Amino acid sequence: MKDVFKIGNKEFTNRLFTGTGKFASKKFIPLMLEASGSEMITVALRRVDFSAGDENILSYIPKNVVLLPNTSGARNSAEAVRIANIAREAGCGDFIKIEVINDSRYLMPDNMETLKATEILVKDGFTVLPYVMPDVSFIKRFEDAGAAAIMPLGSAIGSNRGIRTKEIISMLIELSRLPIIVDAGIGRPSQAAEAMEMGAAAVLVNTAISSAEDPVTAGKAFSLAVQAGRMAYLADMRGEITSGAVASSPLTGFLGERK
Amino acid sequence: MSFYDTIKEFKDFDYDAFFRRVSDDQVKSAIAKDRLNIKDFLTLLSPRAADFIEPMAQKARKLTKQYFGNVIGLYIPIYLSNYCTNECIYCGFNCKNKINRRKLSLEEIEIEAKAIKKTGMQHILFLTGEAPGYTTPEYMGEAAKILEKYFASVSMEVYPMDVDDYKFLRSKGVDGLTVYQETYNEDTYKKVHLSGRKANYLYRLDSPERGCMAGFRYVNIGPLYGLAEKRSEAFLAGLHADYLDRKYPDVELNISLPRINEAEGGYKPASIMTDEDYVQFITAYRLFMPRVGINLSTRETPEFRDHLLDICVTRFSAGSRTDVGGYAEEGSTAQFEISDARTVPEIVHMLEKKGLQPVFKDWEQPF
Amino acid sequence: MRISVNGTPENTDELTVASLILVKTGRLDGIVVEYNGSVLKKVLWDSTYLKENDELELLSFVGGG
Repeated sequence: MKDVFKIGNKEFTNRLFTGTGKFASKKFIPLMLEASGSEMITVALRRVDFSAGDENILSYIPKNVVLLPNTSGARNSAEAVRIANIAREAGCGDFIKIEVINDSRYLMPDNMETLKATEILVKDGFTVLPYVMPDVSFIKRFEDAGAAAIMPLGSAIGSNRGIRTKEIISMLIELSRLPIIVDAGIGRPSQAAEAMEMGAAAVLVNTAISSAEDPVTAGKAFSLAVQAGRMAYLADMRGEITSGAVASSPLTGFLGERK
Repeated sequence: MSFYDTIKEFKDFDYDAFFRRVSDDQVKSAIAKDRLNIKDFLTLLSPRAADFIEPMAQKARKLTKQYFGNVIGLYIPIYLSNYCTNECIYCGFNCKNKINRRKLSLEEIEIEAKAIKKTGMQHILFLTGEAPGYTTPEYMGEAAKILEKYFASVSMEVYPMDVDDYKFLRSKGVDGLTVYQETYNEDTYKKVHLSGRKANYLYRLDSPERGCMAGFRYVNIGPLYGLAEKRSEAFLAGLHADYLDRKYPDVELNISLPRINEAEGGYKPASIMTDEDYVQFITAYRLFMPRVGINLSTRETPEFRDHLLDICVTRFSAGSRTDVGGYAEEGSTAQFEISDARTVPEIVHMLEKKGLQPVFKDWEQPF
Repeated sequence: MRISVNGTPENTDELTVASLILVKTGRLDGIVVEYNGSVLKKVLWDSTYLKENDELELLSFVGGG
């Protein structure tokens, strides 16, 4: 059976989501996408910089890759909603990653504002993927609001520190019926594999790939790690196997005695 | 979405085929896992896993100590009325049974409450048959108000209601709801509930969820073992608890495993749940849901109950009578025969000897 | 006439939104326009004539994670 998963009305087979930020050259983007097989990639929306003579980043992204515009730059729900609407108007599809950040020091997301934006955008027909601080009670609210998946952070954006929120993320994976996509902080393929072994539906890796000396090979390395982690999860690998029946039965021996 | 979606999903599931394929290694690794999926859970309910009952019990004991410590919550039932319009062929209160019917007046409830209060019990569970004409939600609300004066926590096991009625009773101080599905097997359900409101399978199936929506603090569910094939019943009850637990994290879920006892109607169980099955099922529940409360009533014998306390039971009834008005005087016909007739002090003494602390009151309504 | 583009006031002789964009950015693809507070669909760029005090936001997709 093919191991596919669905977000909104799109099916994915590759569980590595990538981002377009911080590449030394945009030319690496299509090569990285090809090497990794990533089927979803994030983009951001900004005011055009007239001095820089920038090119359209969308022209570097093959048509079969799903665009996931983010709302980076938004500091509250209203700004996130505005950015989402502009992105959709630009023909980017219905997917939106909501990112509301007030904290310029650690770039931690604001769950409350993110939730408000989720509620509004779901009603407007978006497929909403909120980027959140892992928090069990918020996750339920995001589910109720109609989010299509949840993107909890592993650690601070760009920190490469790995899944420092592991305990909470494994609770989310256990408790949520939505796909959990670990976003932010994954700096090494081994960390991506760890997230997948835990049962994450996918991971999103941007900086670690784009800032590598060889981003194309890095993309492939992450993709293989994600596959390995996913396969380990599916193989249902167990911990230590305890011994079977023991000779004496202190707790259940009474059952036999009474016969 | 309702738990009925899950019921439909497993309606034609071939349990026997699944059980035939279960290997010893699968059982061992299900026991070893930290977090069991539903396949692991069903594996532990398989006949094959019966050979591993001791390691299951060891793990269940460990988890119970880890999450509940050494305390056992005690509760006591009070029967308010045995009027019933249902025709449940296994029940002593079946409307076709010619028994002495009685409903306690509010004054009588107060007298019973005083008599029970003397035992030291603080958690009370009131029960009625299903006769909304006799035992209206308003009557229960009045009863709850009286019981609340005497007890720290009032739960109820009554006929299924709409959310609004549950909310009303919640507002009168009822904090726990018990609704047993009796059987998750829809066909069997129809065969054993011949008439009355209870013949509606779906309405009953969804009532624990309505209770969760109404904001009860405790919700207690379970099938009545003996009506339909036991392993599938145990499995679906576990999935039901898991479904509610995930969807309503603010509610404390409890599971009971009542099995058919000699009641007035002389019903003979269609599927016998042995003591071995009982132990296997409660340990499987504990491994699957480490934090779920597991109730044990006085339907079971003292010896059996005491052994289960060593494994994974967390709530225990004591000093129970199942007849209407039975605490203050000799009452009417019992709903079922109790097997453990020990008094509250005897139970407390037994628990203390085991190193367990009896808890009469683990919380109180703040206002 | 005086208009505002991306928060900066400027004088322009361009007649339509489309011609303004082309002059400012050198391209028409991958650009989104907010015209006086709401998104202006691309099909309307040619037929939307600039007038005094118009406010335009020209946005485009950039790299981001």
